[in-house]
Amino acid sequence: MQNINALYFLSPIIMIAFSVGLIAYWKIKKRFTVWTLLLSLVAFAGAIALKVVVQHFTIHPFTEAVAGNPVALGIYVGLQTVIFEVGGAYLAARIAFSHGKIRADDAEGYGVGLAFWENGVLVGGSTLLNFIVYYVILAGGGLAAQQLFDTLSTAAPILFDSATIALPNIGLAVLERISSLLVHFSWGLLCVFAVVFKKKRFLLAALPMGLVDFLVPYAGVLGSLNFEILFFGLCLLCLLVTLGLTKTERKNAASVSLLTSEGSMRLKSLVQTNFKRALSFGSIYLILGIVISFLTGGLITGLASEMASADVPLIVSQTFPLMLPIYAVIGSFGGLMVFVSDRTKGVYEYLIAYGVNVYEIFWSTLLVTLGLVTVVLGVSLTGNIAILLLMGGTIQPAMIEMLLIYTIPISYASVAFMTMSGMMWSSLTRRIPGVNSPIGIATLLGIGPVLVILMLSSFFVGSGFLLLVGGVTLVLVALVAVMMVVTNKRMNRERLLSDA
Amino acid sequence: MVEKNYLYPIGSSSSLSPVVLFDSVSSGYSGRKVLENVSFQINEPAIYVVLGPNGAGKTTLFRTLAGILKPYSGKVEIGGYPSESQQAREQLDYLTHIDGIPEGMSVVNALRFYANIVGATEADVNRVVDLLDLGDLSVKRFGQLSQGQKKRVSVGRIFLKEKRVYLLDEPTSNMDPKMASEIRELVLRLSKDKVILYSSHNLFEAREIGSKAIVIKNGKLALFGNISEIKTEKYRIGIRTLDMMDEMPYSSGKEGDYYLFELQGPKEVPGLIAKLSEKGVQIREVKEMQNPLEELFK
Repeated sequence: MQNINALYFLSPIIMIAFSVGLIAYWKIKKRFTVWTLLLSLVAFAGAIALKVVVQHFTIHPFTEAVAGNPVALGIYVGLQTVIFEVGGAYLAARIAFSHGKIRADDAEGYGVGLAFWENGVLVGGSTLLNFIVYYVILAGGGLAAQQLFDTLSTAAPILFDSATIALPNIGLAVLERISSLLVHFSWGLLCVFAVVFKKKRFLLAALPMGLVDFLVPYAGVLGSLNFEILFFGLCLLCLLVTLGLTKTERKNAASVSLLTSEGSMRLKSLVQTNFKRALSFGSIYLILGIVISFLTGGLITGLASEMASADVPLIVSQTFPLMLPIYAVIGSFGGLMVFVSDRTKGVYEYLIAYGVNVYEIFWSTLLVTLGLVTVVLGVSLTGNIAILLLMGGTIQPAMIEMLLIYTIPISYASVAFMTMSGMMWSSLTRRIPGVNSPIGIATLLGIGPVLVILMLSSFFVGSGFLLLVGGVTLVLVALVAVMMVVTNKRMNRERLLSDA
Repeated sequence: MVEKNYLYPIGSSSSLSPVVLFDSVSSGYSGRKVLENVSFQINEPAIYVVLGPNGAGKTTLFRTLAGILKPYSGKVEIGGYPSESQQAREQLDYLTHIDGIPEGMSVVNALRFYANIVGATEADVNRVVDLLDLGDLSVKRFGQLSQGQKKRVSVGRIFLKEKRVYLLDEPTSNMDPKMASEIRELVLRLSKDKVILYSSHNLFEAREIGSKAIVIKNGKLALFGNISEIKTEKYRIGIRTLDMMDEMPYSSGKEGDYYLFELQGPKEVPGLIAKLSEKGVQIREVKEMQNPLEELFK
C-alpha cells in the first residue's frame, strides 16, 4: 500500500522552524517576553474558539441562505477574522496594557506571537501531527491502513503525488504561511501601537487587514498558484502599510516603553495603596453596609418564617437581594472619601507634577470603589447565605437569578455613578466647609437609581423587570463612561489643586 | 531696578535644548492671568532663587513649569520637551508649600507611596529616612507630627529619586532656623549639577543659597540675572528691653517699644546682642522690623 510522500513533512517542519526561529530571533535581537507569548496565545486562542462556536451554529444555515455565493461567504469569513482575530488582538493588548503587561516595544513581538500560534502551532503543529499519524498507520498496514488510504485518496490525493508535484505544493503551502505571518505581524503591531500611543488610526488600519480571509472561498476558483500569489501580495501590502504608518512610533517605542511601564505601575500602585486607605477611611461605612445587610437578611428570614408560608424560601430569595445595592453604595464611600481628602490635602498637585494624569486619578478611585463593592457584596452574600443554610434553608434559583440580573449589575453601576459624580462635583466646585460635601450629594445619586428600580418594579414584572434593570444599568454605565471621557479630554489639571 | 522681560540666557548653551525654557508665557487660573508674557531660559546648573512679594505669581510660575497649569500662551519646555509631557515630568521634582501627604499615612508609608509613584526603591526610602533623620518618626502618622517635622517629611520626597530640575516652592517655610539651615545645606548639596528653582520671600535666605535670581513682580519678570544685582536696604531689627532706657547704644531710633538697629544682614545680630549685653542691656525680644523683600518692591 502506498504511503504518503514523506516530502510533505517538509511543509509543517518549515512552518514550525520558521515560527520558532522568528521568536528566537526577536528574543535575542529585539524584545520578546513570556508575557507577550502568553498574551498572543490568549488573543489567538480566544479568537479561534469564538470562530469555531460561531461557525458551528451558522456556517450551514448561512451557506444555504446565500446559496454558496462566494462574495457572501468571503464577507462571512473575513468579518469573523476582523472581529475576532484583529478585534480580539486589540482587546487583549488593551487589557494587558492597562495592567502594565505590555509596552510599545512589545508590539512587534506580539505580532510575531500571533503568527507563531497560527502557523507554528495551529497549522504547522496539527499538520505535522496528522502527517505522522497517517505515515505510521499506512506503514503498519492492515484494515486501519486500508480505510485511511481510501479516505485520503479521495480527500487529499496530492499527498501521494510524486516529488515533482509535491515540491511546488509544499512551496505554495510555505508561501501561504509566510503571508499569514506578514498579516498577523502587521495587525499585532498596529493593535499594540493603537493602545500604547492612543491612536485610533492604527486600529482602523488593522481591522480591514482581517478581510484578507475574504479570499478563502475563492481558493478553488482562482487555483492554488494564483490564490497564493494574490494572498501574498495583499499580506505584503498590509506589512508595507503598517511599516509606513508606524515609522515614527517604532523609533520612539523603546523610550515610550519606559514611561508607559512606569505609568502602569503608578496606576497599580495608586489602586493598591488607596484601596487599603479606603478600607481604613471608610471602615465605619463598610461595617455599616455589611451589618445592615445582615440585619436585613435576618429580619426578612424571620418575618418570612413567621408567615409560616410554603413560599418562605422564595420570599427570602427574592427580597434579600433587592436591598443589597443600597448597602453596597453605603459601604463603598471610602473610595470617594480618599479622593476628597487627597484633593484637599494637595496630594494630587504632587501626583500631577510627577506625571500622573487626571484620568489615572479618576480611574484609580473608581477601581478602588468597585473593589469596595466587591467586599460588601462578597461578605454580605457569603454571610447571609451561610446563615440561611445553617437555618436549614436552601439556595433558590430565584435568588441566584435575582443576584445575577439585578443585585450585582446595579450595585456596581450605582456605585460607579456615585463615585464619578462625587469626584466631578468635588473637582468642579470650591470647597465650603460643611456645605459642599460631595459624599453627601453623591450618596443620593448612588441610592437614587436603586430606589427608582424598587419603586417601578411592581410595574415591570418578569422579563419587564430584566429590561428595567438592564436599562437603568446601561444608562448609569453610559453616564459613567461619558463622565470619564469628559474628564480625560476636558478636565483641567488645576481642578484637582487644593483649595488651600 | 531695570525691568527685563525678554529672553535672558545665563551662561553658555552647552546643549541644543535649554534645561528650562519659558518663552512668552502667560498663565493663571480659570482664565485669570497671573503671569503675563514671562520669558527666560536656563542652560546651566545652579540655584535660581525666585523672588517676589506675596501674590506676585511665584507659585503660578512653579505650577506652570511643573505642567500642572497649562499656559494660556507661550511655550514651556523642560530639557526640550513640553512641560506637560511625560518626558518633561520625568526630569523634574516638585515641592510646594502644601505638604501633600495622604491623610492617615505613617511617615514611612507616605514616602513609600511617593517612591512608587516616581519609581524609587525601598532602599531610596531608607536613604531618605536616614538623610533627613526621620528614623524616630517613621512609624508615626503624618498628622501627629509638628509643623517642622511635617516639612522635613515633605522635603524628603525630593530626595527619593535623582532628577535634573528641582522646583522648590518655599521649602523652609514653617521651619525653625536650625532645620531651615539644614534643609538649605541639603539643597546646596543637590545643586552641583542640577537646576534648582527655589522660591523665597526672604532676600537674605536667597543670598545665602543662590547666586542667580528670577524676580517676579505683578506677574511679570522684573529681573533675571545675578542675585548681586539686587540692591538691598539695610537690615533693620527691633529690640525690646526689660527696662526702658534713656539712651540705647548703636540704635538708630525707636518705633513703639522697639529700639531700631540697622545692620548689613542677619549674621550681625548675634554680635550686636553680645555688645548690648556687655553694656548691661537686658534684652526681652529681638525681631525683624521689615521684610527686606517687600521693601525692595516699593
